[in-house]
Amino acid sequence: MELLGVLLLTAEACLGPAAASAADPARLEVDPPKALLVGPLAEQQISVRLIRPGAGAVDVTQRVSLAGAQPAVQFQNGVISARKDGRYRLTLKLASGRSAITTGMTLDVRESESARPVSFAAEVVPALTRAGCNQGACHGGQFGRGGLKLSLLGYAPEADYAALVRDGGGRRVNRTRPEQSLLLLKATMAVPHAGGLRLPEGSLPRRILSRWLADGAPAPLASEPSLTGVSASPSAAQMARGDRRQTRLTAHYSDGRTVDVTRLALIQSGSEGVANVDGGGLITAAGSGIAPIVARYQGKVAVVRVLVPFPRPAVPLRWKTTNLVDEEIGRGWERLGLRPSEEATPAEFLRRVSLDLTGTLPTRAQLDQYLQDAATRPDAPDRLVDRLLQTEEWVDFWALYFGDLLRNTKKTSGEKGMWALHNWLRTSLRDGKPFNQMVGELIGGHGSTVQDAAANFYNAAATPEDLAETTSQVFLGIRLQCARCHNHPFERWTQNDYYGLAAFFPGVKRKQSPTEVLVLHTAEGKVDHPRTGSPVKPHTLDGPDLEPDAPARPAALAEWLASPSNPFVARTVVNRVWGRLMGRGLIEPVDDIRSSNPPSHPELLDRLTEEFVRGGFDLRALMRRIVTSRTYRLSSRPTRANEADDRYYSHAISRRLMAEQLLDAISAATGKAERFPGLPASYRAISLPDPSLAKVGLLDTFGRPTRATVCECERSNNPNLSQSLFLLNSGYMQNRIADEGGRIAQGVRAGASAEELVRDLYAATFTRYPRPDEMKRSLGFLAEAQNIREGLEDLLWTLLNSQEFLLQH
Amino acid sequence: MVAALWPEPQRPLTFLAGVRGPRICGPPNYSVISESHLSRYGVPWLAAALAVAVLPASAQVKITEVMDLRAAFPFGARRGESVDVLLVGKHITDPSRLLIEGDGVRVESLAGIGPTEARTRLSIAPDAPVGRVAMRLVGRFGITDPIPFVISDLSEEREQEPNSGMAEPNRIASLPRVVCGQFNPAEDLDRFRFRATRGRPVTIAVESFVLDATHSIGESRGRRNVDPVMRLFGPTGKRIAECEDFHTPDPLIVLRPEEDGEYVVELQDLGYEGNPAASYRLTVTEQPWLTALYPAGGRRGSVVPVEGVSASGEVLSGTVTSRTAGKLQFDTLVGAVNTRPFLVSDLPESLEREPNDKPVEANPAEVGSVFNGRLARAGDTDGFALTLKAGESISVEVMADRELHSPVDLMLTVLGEDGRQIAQSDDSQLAYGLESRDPELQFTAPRAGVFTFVLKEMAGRGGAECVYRATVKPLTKGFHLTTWWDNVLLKGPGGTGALLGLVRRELGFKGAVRVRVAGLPPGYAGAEGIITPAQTSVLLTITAPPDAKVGDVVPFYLEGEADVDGVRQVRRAIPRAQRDQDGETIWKPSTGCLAAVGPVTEFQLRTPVRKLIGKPGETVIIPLEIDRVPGYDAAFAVNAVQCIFTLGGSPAEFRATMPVPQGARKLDFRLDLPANLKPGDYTFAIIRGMGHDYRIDRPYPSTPLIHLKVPGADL
Repeated sequence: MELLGVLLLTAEACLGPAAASAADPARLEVDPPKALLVGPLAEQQISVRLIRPGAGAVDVTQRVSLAGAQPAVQFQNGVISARKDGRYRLTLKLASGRSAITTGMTLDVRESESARPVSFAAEVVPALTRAGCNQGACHGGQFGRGGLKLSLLGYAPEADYAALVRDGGGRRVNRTRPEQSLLLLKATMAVPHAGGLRLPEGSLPRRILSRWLADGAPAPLASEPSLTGVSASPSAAQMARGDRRQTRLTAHYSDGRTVDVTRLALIQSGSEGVANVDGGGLITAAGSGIAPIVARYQGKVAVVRVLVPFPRPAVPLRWKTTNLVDEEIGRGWERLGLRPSEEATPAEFLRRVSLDLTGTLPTRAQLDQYLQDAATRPDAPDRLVDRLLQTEEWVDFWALYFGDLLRNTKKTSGEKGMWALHNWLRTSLRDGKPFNQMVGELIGGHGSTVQDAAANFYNAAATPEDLAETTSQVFLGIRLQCARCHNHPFERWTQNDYYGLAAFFPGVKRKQSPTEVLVLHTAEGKVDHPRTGSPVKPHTLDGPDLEPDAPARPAALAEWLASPSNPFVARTVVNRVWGRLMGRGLIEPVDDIRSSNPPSHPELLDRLTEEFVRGGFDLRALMRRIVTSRTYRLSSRPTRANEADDRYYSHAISRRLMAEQLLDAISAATGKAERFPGLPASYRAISLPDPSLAKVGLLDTFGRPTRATVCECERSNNPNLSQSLFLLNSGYMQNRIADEGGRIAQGVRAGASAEELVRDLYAATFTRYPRPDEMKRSLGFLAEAQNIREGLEDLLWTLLNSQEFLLQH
Repeated sequence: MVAALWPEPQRPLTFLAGVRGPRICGPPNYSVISESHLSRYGVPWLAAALAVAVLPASAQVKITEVMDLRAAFPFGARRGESVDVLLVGKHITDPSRLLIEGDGVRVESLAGIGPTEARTRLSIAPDAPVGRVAMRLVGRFGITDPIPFVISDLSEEREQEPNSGMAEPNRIASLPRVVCGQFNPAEDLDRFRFRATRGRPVTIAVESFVLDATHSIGESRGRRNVDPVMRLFGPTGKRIAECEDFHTPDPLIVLRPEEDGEYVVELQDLGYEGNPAASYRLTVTEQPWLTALYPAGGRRGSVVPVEGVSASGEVLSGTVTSRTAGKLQFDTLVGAVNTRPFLVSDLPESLEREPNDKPVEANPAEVGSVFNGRLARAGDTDGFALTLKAGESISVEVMADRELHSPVDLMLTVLGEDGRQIAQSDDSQLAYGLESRDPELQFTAPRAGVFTFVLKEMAGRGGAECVYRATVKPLTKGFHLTTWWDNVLLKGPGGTGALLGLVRRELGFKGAVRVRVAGLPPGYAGAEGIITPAQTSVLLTITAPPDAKVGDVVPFYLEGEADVDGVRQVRRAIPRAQRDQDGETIWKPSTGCLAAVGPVTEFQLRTPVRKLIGKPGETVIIPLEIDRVPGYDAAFAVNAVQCIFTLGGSPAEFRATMPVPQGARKLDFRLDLPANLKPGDYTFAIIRGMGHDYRIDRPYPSTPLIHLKVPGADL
């Protein structure tokens, strides 16, 4: 009872005060309540929880024992195995002093003494994977290790069998004395092994391998039931800090069989600061947030979503929502126990949304106008957003974004092609062309790259493989590259999927003539599977096959991509836009969507995606939905309660201005516009069609991409010392601040008062006016300066080097 | 003034007399209508000539350069009017003459402004044919390649800067109208406003690329064609259309106004480049603007019924008279405002008949005829069938992109009677050595039978303007000749200039070809050279008579003769003019070859040697006289140049280079004949070159051609 009492107390401490009721006794709950073991090596991981009504549940898997004598059944640390066939009624007991709580489960055991040989593909390969033998750092690497090359994580069992049993003169397997097989001796460190001890005594992988060798190292069977998937139980869990929870993993086969593979899977946490997991699937909650626990087994993935609330807030959430963004974000806060910061000021909102939508700092006139609007009209933010979405700056800024993704450069497309694609992007954005239509035009683009500017898409990537990787990462948000050489280690995509996508492109030809470049879609060409050497039929991810020589392969792909039912395109662009506006994607990185990298707010992503599709893939509408939410308008100033939150949007996420935003902002603030040689004066950094057209040191120092890759990560917003030194000391900055035609010189010449000039500088840099204390300090500083102009230049230098200017907040 | 910079201290008075009466003559198919002689500037010229005598000699010496005329601004004029035209080019210092190839244009005056500009006043006859003429400039460094000049029947005006701002576009008062403009300086944006009426389509067309305008002057970043981009703004200021290319890099927009109002057209260069040579013509018209004539050519002397395809969709009907074979005409139809190219041949012509997409439907055609067709819709293919004997050889040359600017990239495929592909051609390099999108192939029938020739567009494009002409001719064993370029500078009276002839051997002919310069007026000496079997080119020379006048321009042609299987074959060379297109040198057939007598700017090379006999391994000595102009003492190198191009990349049979020391006026040129030199006849000249660089793209001084005989069996 004491223990129960302890348990009760523990439950209360975790879950809040609740009255324990004698009418609702505590009970044990076991998962699964029934288990089936087939074969001599079978085992079952179970999970046992103590349920206290009103006090929640506690995992007690490691503390229960098997009641009664069951000599044929072994139970240790939650793992059940058996030596004899039969049906067993097991009683699990949680002891507590003189009393105990029990529960029962049924165990069926078959073929426990069977001579059925161990399956190489279904048992040995997973054992090797679990033991780490075929990981990339060891024998699964490109060149293997020590003369032994295995397929990465066991994606090619036939090849692995040959490597183990036949290669090297068959020296790794000793059929006469299996226990002397080199394979075993090395992995158990009976002989020196650079890879260390891989098969500890008593471990399941060791038992499997030993048995297989004893069976004579049988080859993979010609036809075995295939693995169709894996599932985790539970699939989601809400835990308190310090809590533990046993999870188990079940493999499902094409013959209907299920097998517990908890101790053979690779299980790891996607966020160890929130929750970590051991090799047996025992999860421990370490921090607050949401952590994906990812279990991988033979190319299949299952995810356990663990939610650990933040320390319980003292105040209820008062969050009036009219926007689905706010609904879902608010729901997440409730689950996590987070509370949002206050809203940003009107000036902060103006600055933020102008930079996010148009890449441009507002002018002073726009600031004054908006402050007036915001003071009198509740719909001022919405009106501002509507105006910004219709500006040419919006067109420029998002053409820059998509130009980066499409790698539009003069180098790849020639000058005409580069301009053609850039102008196509701008026209498409300006005219509100549905995004799926844009995607369809890019993939389906053919003919003259000037008449059909979208065909320039095919300039940046030359081979079918490059095109597959580009298409996948840009439009599907999937980094398929790993599957080029082997099945994807972290996702379900296989080499077949990779080459199936590549097989849409071998017929794409480019023809250059003096006046035009033609992109031709022919029925020629095929892609061969690198392992089998056979032609691969084109097929989309999760889609059906086409015939290899189908004439309109890119067109078929374009149709699939543009289809509203495509499961990837809308979701990807929604996530990208969200990430750009909010500072962090719902899935991060935004172009690394995989089941082992789940979204932080899956329901929000689903709803936004559904609305985007229903609304006709309207980018403006999507952006409007996001930036008119209360969530977007939150201040970047965290509270003590939410300052640890960096992904649940309880406050705005500050980040450094992009290189182009920064250059234009400095130009605007100093009043000295940047001139890009060969381009008209009206061109700003956000309007540049190609990075190579403007070689400006600032842009490169601040991480502008060269468009060498399609990864958004090529643009770096990370701070570094060069940036600081540039802003502090460079001649570029000094010259702009002090330019005779600049803001300060003109203001001084015009005879403006010191106070007015200070207000002007603050408005130009911070998009707000100075507070009284700031004004007082500034005027005092100016009074002490040699002359007012020098003082103002120093003040502007200070403002330009401040975080309030440099950050988007 | 021009004369002030031309050093002719020996004969200043002769120079003045010379400019009064230049002599021009030529064969019947070449006509020079007018030139500018500077006689009207007699008095000032005299003063300038006297000034020459007192100028320091060193200031008179100029390095040899290549003269290059790039553009005219404006690029055309209305007939019946006189117009001041700015000529823009490179090294066009001291132009002496503006040659016009075409009817109805008279040069009233010509004056050089500097190394890149000259000014001329042209008078266009009221009955001048609407279309194009070509202009060449003659000056210190020779003759330029021709540039086009448009003759129209429309009101023409020039843009007025500034017109870049939305509030300051030039007003086009009424339609139709032509505005001649320039993208100058870089980043220039030109805007024009006009009024349009609801329901009345307006065609807004730019011509610049088709007039060969390029960025290649002065500080331009590269030799690139002008590539205009056009945008159209409606009465509310909203952008309603944009065009980058329409069939060619020149844009065209057809406005179908939904409301009456003022519309603004905005033009810029694609890369925001600009310079004085970046000229364009902007036509704004409610009348039809032709985009094609179909058929696109006819037989000489015939009156051909044609269909005019217009950008706005109207179809015009009319006739075109085919005038001169081998020429590219520019013709229009009643109602249209512009002309389109029309090719004239001397062969029978036929027109395709649809359907002819499938081999069984192919239209019958004849060898020695021209087949006219068009890919009338997207995905269309056209086939014509030829009945050939076993071993019969033909050439099929397709013209579509070249000259006709048809918006197609054609592929020509030959199918046998079983439908299988036997041959294919995509982009031709055969014609004149000109690379284009048009196919051309030489085909020898493997057996007797009917062969289908199928034309297909690479990207499946099609439309009423997608016209083409396929010329089918018998191919005979032998050779064809072209010139490397079509003009030569002879440095001074008695001076010699060099040029190249190129040969293309066909159907297994491997023999030598003798090539001579012909058609020169009396007194001019044209050399005869030999293209040996191992070579594909030959150096030839032309020497001016001692009494030639600086500024004289004379026509000539190259003629080749060879023994082909015992039959004497004579061919005349096709002259080629050089143009730059997007950084590449391209060649176009020109109307004829010209040699101009220019001043001596550095020296003349002379040798009394015309014939030599030499044995392999021997050294022959050729005495040279270097007749330097006063003040030119520089050292340089001279090279024995036999030819430039050889078969299979093998080097010329012999070559040599020797330095000429500073101030030297005589040199014994040593030519070491290789020990393995084959017996036979060779021709070569000694030219001032750039070290071991045997290029003669600059008109450097040359000796007349020297014949070398190496005794032994003939080649």
